[in-house]
Amino acid sequence: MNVFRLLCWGAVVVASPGRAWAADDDEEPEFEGVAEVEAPAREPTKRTLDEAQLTTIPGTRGDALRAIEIMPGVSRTQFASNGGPPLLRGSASGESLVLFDGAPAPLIYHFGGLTSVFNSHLLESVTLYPGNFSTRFGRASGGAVEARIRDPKSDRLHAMLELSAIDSFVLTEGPLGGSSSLALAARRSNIDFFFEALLDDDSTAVVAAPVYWDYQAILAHRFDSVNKLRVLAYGSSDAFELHLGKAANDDPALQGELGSRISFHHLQVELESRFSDRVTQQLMLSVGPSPGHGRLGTTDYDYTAWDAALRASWSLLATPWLRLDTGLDVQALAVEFRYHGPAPAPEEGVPSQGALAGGSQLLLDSTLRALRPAGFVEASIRPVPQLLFVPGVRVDYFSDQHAWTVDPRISSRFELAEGSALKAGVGRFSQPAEYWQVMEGFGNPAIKPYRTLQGSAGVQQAVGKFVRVDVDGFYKRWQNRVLGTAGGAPPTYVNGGTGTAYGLELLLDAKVTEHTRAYASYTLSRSTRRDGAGKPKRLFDRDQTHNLTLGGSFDVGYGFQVGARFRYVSGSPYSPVAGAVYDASSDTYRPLYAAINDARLPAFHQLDLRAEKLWRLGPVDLTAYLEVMNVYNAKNQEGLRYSFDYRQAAGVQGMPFFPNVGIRGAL
Amino acid sequence: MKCNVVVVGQWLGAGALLTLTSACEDALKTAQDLREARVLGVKLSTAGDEASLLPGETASVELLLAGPDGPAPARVAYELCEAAESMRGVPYCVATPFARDVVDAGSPSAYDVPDELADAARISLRGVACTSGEPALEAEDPLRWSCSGEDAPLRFSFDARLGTASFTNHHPDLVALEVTLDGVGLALEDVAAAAGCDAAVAGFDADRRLTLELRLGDDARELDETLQLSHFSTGGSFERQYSFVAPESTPFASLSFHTPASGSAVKQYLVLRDGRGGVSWASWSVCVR
Repeated sequence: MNVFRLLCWGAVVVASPGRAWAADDDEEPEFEGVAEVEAPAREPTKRTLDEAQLTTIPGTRGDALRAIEIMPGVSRTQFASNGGPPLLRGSASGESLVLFDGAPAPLIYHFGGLTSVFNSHLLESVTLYPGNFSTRFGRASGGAVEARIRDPKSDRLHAMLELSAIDSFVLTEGPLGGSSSLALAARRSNIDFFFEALLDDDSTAVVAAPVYWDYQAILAHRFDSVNKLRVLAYGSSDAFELHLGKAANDDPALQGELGSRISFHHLQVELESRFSDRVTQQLMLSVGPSPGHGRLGTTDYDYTAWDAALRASWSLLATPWLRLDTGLDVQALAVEFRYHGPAPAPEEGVPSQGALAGGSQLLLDSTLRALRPAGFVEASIRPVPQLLFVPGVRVDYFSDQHAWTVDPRISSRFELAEGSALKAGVGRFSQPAEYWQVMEGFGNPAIKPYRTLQGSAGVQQAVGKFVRVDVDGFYKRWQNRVLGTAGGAPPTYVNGGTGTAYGLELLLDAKVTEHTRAYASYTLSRSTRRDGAGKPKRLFDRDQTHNLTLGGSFDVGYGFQVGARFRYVSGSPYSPVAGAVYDASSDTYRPLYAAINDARLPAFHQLDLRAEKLWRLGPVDLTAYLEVMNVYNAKNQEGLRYSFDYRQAAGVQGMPFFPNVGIRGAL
Repeated sequence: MKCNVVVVGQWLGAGALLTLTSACEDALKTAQDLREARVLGVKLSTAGDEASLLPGETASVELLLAGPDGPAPARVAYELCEAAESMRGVPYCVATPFARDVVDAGSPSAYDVPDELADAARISLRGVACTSGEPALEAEDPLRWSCSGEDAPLRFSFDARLGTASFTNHHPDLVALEVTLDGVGLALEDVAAAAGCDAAVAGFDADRRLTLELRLGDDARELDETLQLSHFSTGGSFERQYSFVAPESTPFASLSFHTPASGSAVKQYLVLRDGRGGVSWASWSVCVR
């Protein structure tokens, strides 16, 4: 079996085609006695963080999902400013997927990115598809991140306790007897213990300091050599509440209570069946509520969302040169939403409109029911051992938008020699509008899904024994993008926007030993949008021309491991304020812009270090770690803040020097 | 250096994002300090001094404009139109403006509200004031509302609702307004009067933190109105720009005022808004010795 594997520290693995067929590693049941084979990548670009690498990347606080930031194609986001999926290949956050074992994640990060809501020590791998992903996934016009949850350990009882300044968690797992095993984990933040000390404004009272918590429970049971069942329960909560004794100086709407509580709870059932060496099946049902409410001065909202995901997929190795994958991917959504306040924050490409005060007040009480079934089929054809074609098609229906979409996609790989491969792909990717954009009473029910056309091509090359190089070029074009109307006038949203993104990605990995690795990741890209016919082309809000990450991890002996990560990223575009209009109705100012995103913030650069020491104390492994973010305290400018009349501006500084210490004991 | 903590709430973003941004450096000017000429308020009134305008009747527009020396002379161009339906940003017109004029700031300017305006229509006032030169308001793009002189154009807008059978509104009534500073009563004066330091004006020490108290009187507001009070001072500094009087609370507000470091005559302004188009203002002098 010819298996090519590209490993990167920082955990990048690019799997490449084998010359014999096996079920995809993503879908292959891991039964005892079945030889594990590295699957052929059906996507032109697939980069995986494996279990050993998920929690040791400097600057990520050991968080597996944040670790993907080191990969090419992933835009940098301001610390704790993006609670959604990562920005991939010039797409907005909401245009990509994050999946836990194939189920969309209701929430990905606590408090906008502090840490992910799923314990990284329970993940088997995290795989990034920055674009051109398989027809197995849909409803996203950007890329996808798939987190694979591992089985609980079944050899004996294990326990882990970690204490750090930011949060603490406990994890236990072990056999239940027979063919069952169970893992339980819970985490709670520690921010509330010192949060009040950060507030030096006497008029701000902390009613409830920020607290997040999450939990995971995984039960695995093997019925026989064919069927394995897993039941997962996981959820999280983020909450805080402040009382502002006086209004913000430039916004009378920002006074009184400021708080939010959001949470989700999901139950997920998975059945994997391997009927033969040629036929496998995966069934997954995930369902749960995501309630939330919040108050921001005179604005308040309250919602309850129930979402369900059903996935059924089958894989058939028909002949030595043909494999078929097909399945159903169904999503159901029910949202009840109440809102009172000003018009919501404008869309991407619309800079701040100033204070919340003034303008129209909305009073919404809406309900949305959506059923989004989809079917997909994909054929993996290998006419000669070196060549792989993967054509596929996905058909989606969106009941809330009364629309069908058909997305054909194709990818191919050609192995030039051992450790050397060419790859390419092209396809269409449809995405529904956000639910509030089609909601009766506020949005436009006539909005239709929009789409991207994506193409990419690249080469993988092994250099010597230790070094691997991966180079990809990509192009993406948006059609029928959803736009906000001028001033939010009815119908509030329309289709009609376009856009393009293109770039080059380079990944260079050197793995000397299991614990001594170095890598370089670089993305050169440009992402633009056009907000309707006749409108000028502008830069995407998060366009980043250069994105360079250099890192390494070194085993220095005696249980010590040290790592470093350095990043240099072009500053994000912004729209300079050209003037302002005094709103005499609310005693605030409205900024005026001459052009959108025609200036850039200064470039970002930061060095993060991580050091840990392992002591083996009998049955206990004790690890102490120190992680320092922004070691040389670079004063990175993350935005601009303005005086009340927009005549003065000052930079908003990003995260300063920030050390975090922790200790972890594992039994 | 004491840092401000800026709390940013992201509307329905990740649900609830709390970003704490340290803003220790580059302190920006504050709105309660009158360090340059600005528009502080706009008032649309019927002949009977009501805030809800009626089609077919004469109404007036009045502008409060002040600077570091108190009253600031200016030329003002304005236009009134039926407002387009929008939810954010600078209001814009749905039709040709029905009134347009260039006047001196400070004195009310009369205009007729057209008969044909639809019931419950929103009226938008857009304008530009110039402390030097003549104003020009002919462009739809607010960035092109300009002044022929060197000073920056003071662009402004105001939204008002037409009165209907079910909607009438009065401006906040300040007849009973009482102002005290550190327990000493301050005499109200014409907003157009310059700050004075004569014997009739109470005197206070420089560089002192004092408490300003405002008793509005029971008739200051109508039922269910939350009054927004905006505070401005030509010298020294108020602790904040805004105060609020909730419907169920006593019509009273207090805030601290730090007197200037050296002696001067200070002019202070109070602008009240009822959130429904009603606006009133008052001013007084503080003598710092």
